[in-house]
Amino acid sequence: MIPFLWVDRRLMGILQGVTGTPVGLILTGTVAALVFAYVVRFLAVALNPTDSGFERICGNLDETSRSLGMPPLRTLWKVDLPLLRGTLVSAGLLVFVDVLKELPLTLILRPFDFDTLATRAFQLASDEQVARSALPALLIIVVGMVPVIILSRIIARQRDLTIHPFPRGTRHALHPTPPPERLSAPPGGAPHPWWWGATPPSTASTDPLDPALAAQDLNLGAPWEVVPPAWDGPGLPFPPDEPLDLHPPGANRIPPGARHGPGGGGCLAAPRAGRTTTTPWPITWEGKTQGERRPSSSSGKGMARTGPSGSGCARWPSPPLEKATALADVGVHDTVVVLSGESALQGAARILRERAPGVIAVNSSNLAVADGLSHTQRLQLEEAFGPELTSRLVSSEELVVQWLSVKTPREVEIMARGGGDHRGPGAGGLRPGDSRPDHRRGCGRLPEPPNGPTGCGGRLGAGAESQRQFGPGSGALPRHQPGDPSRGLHPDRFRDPGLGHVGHRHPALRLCPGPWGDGGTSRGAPALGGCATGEPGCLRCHATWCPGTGRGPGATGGDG
Amino acid sequence: VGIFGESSETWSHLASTVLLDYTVNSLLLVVGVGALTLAIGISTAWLVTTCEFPGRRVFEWGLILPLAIPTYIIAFTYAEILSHTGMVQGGLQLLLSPETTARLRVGLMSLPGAGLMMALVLYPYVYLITRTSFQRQSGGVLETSRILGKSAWSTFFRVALPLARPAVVAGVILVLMEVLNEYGAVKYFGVSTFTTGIFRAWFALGDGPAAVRLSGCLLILVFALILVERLQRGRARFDDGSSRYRPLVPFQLRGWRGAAAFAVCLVPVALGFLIPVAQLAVWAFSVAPEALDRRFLTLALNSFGLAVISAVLAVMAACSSSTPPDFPLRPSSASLPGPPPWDTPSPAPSSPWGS
Repeated sequence: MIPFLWVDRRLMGILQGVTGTPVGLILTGTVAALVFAYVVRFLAVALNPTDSGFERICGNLDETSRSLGMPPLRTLWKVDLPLLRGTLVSAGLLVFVDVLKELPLTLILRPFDFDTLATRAFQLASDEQVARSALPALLIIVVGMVPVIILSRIIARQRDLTIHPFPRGTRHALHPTPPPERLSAPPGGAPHPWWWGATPPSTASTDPLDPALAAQDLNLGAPWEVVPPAWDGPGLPFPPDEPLDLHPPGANRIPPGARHGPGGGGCLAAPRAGRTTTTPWPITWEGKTQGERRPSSSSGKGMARTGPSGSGCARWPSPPLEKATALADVGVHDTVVVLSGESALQGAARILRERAPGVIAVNSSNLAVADGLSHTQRLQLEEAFGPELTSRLVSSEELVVQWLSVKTPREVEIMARGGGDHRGPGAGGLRPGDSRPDHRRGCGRLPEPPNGPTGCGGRLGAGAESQRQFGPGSGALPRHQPGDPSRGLHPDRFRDPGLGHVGHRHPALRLCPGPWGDGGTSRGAPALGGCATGEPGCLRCHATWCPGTGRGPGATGGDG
Repeated sequence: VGIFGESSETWSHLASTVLLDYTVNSLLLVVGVGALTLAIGISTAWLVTTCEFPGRRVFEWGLILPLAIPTYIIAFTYAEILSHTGMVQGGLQLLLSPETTARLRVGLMSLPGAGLMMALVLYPYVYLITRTSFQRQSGGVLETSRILGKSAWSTFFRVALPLARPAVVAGVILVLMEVLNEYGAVKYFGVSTFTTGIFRAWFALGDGPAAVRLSGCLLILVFALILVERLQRGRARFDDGSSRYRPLVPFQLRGWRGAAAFAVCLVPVALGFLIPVAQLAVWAFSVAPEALDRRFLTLALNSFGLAVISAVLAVMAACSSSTPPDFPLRPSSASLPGPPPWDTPSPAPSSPWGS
């Protein structure tokens, strides 16, 4: 107040000099002085919320307004003040109530015979007329409760205070990540997150039999994000309400041997028969090195993928039965075998020797596309595989990427369902069999299958083929009929460049009779050694080219 | 005019007689109110944030209500309630002899009484800020502490409280500023502190410079407070290391524990808000017919008019001073893209406002 008095005295001096008559102090003892004092005193109260309010406004808004030709003051008026309205009102309210309550400042500076509620209440109370002071006091308290309520409400929503040009959730709508709960669970089973790659934490489970865990074990976990492409084709015809049967009858039952195995070694799982040509097949073995979660200790962790002439296997050392069950429930393997007396690597090596794949891709890291083999692991591999198999070890990256980029109808269906509200054109961002651009162009770019007529001439490309399959009027997804390989879509990797067909077998190609005499398609049949007859045209023995890699027969992937 | 000017006779007189009293009383109030607000504010904030007990949702906002009562109002209200003619004494006199009740009378109008009154209406500062801090603590930290073998109390004192310490200190500093700034209650209770001293020096003794000197002493006290906090915090940092927020699973308080929590939260609300407001309402109703006159209307208009004008001016001032530096209203060379330096013909800044 002292500087204010100083200004007032100077002002008085100036005016006296100008007018020549004594005018006295002009401002002191007026309401103006009081207001000035209040503003100075409570500026800090208003400053805090206003400051944070301006900080919360996106600076881009000002700049946008300015770049659209709005002058600064109009920008303030049209853009900032409307955004700040709530903040400014609450800041003003805080000052309002503080002024209402302020006692000492008013006592000092009020004009003569000028009373406020506060001074009146205080004076009456000082004069022992406490009852009479109650009315102004009560009024102050009631008004003072307003900012208290506002304050508590502000604190209650403090986490939502950021003002942003886009409302919350917009980003989600622009880049939908399929919520995992959209997956329909099979009757009596957990949702099947296998194809999602990274299992969302909400479905994470500590139950060793949970397929979600097994899916993590399979380590196919590149996080998978749906980005809807421009697709003007028809929507996927999956009926939205039909529960997705993730465990079709006959799929992946544990062979009897596994149930009664000695349990010492572990288990092996071979991929489904009918998984054809260049699609890599996983061989997985798991060890202690990658996770505290693993109940076992073993040599290493990884996933091997084998090509057409190989077969996949997976093996967990112990406890084998649980792991085997989980593995079987994942639904990618036909066969789960419990090993006894073999180490994981030895078992894998035995399988690989039987299949004699051309190339073995190796991976030993959390990232499916990285190799990540340590020197020790490499030495262990060499020791178990022997020199010949070791010479075929390559990086798994290419095969894994290829394997991940091609989706089966079942995967597409799951993804479409998972997309939920975003179903329809471009549902899930996938067109069956059409996830790689060079597959869209039709079969003209694809080499001819080796034997017999290809049926390529006049046929549409794979993408168009798939659209025909899934187009309007085609009804529900034709179901694979176990035991009848000629009917329905085979729930396998969808894109089969060698066939060019979707879900129908190339007429010239057939499977040689497996040990079960069904062409190797029955899901329960162990494919281990099931097809080594080398019959001409056998899908498993004689897929001779690989459009993705251009490699010859026997391109094999594995990571271990 | 100033602290370092010629020292007047009044000042030397003040310094030799009452300055020590002012300092000691102010410091005692600071310590007492600080401790009380800490105890009330932290305990209620912790209960409301981490526990579930009957009435928790009401207390969550009810505990803020005492903030609405100015200290001088609660001071004279309680002085009257506890006075010889007040409710408490009146009630006791029905049962006991006048001598006994006179002996039972509480000497509220003293320094401890003033401290208690201030604490009752100022603890919401600590409560509010601490509660926000507790709410932002991830439940994971506390659970980790429990898993590592700490008891619930130990977790509170060793983990939650240290994490909330910056917030607690901010709240207490606010409270202590208010205490040092307090005039009405201490004046009414006859406790001489710096504020009453300043008033006396200015109005009773008519010595403005002496009042400024006293204010200077008060400011030194304030800075000392802040300095002490800074120093003893030292180099410790209080970050919640994990970026992951996990809401805390509230402790369920049942039975006598729930009742105790309820009582702990009820006492400050009742003493700080319900009882004085009820008493004021009773008085207001008794005097309303005669007191609600034109004079009261003028009072209210005076108050509201002043408050509205000041609020508008303060918000405008705050607005103009808190617009960000890159705001178009305040052009600077940084925000106005002038020609690039290699195009500038002169080395002078291209903006008329300079940089």
